[in-house]
Amino acid sequence: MAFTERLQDFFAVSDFAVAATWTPSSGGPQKSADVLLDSPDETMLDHMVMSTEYVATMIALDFLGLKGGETIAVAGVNYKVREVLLLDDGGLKHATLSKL
Amino acid sequence: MASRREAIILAVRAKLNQLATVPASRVYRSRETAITRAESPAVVLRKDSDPAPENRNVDERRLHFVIEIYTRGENAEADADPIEVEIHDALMVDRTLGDKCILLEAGDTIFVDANADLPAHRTEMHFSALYRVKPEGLSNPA
Repeated sequence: MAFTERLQDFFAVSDFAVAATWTPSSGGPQKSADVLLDSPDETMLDHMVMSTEYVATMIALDFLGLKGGETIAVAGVNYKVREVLLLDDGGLKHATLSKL
Repeated sequence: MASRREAIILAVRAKLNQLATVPASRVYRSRETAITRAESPAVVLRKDSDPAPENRNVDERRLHFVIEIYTRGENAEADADPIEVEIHDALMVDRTLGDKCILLEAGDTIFVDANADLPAHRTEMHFSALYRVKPEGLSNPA
């Protein structure tokens, strides 16, 4: 029996997702999508440096063209994108962020 | 009474507290907890080792210590450079550290970067201080 994936169900703002917007630096209209934002602290450089690893998880087809160096707003807060990585089967992607 | 090596470390700490590039409130001794973005730049002073003397007739010892510089920013590695310069100059202007040691020497400098939420960099500046103590006590200059 065929199984149809509805990734949108994981990104309901009424549950855990938050609204995000991105205006491509190359031009074009502002885009909107709902994303999951995580912000765990991690230590690096032999536990001597604290880093908050902001990660926005989103549907891969949202924010097409998003890449490092772009600025996005998540829940009204501006972040600089560090890297964008596809997850698992490529249906979702992670954007690691730096708070501005 | 404090050991000669403690006197050396205190003399180094006093020099670090006078830096123009890093406020004294961000100079730490043997700090073990992680440094946040807001606390950077920061400097951490640590004792490294004090190996047994090679010449058994004269208790001449060499205290190795390291000064770590932590910077954050898009150019974190380059941002550490003026701090490195100031620390080197501040210590090497008097290589006896006010008669706390015989000769202070600059050793290796190691650079490490990390992909943090704001790029992070650590410069490790290694130094050694040659000093003499009487065999019967680490506090007594020979």
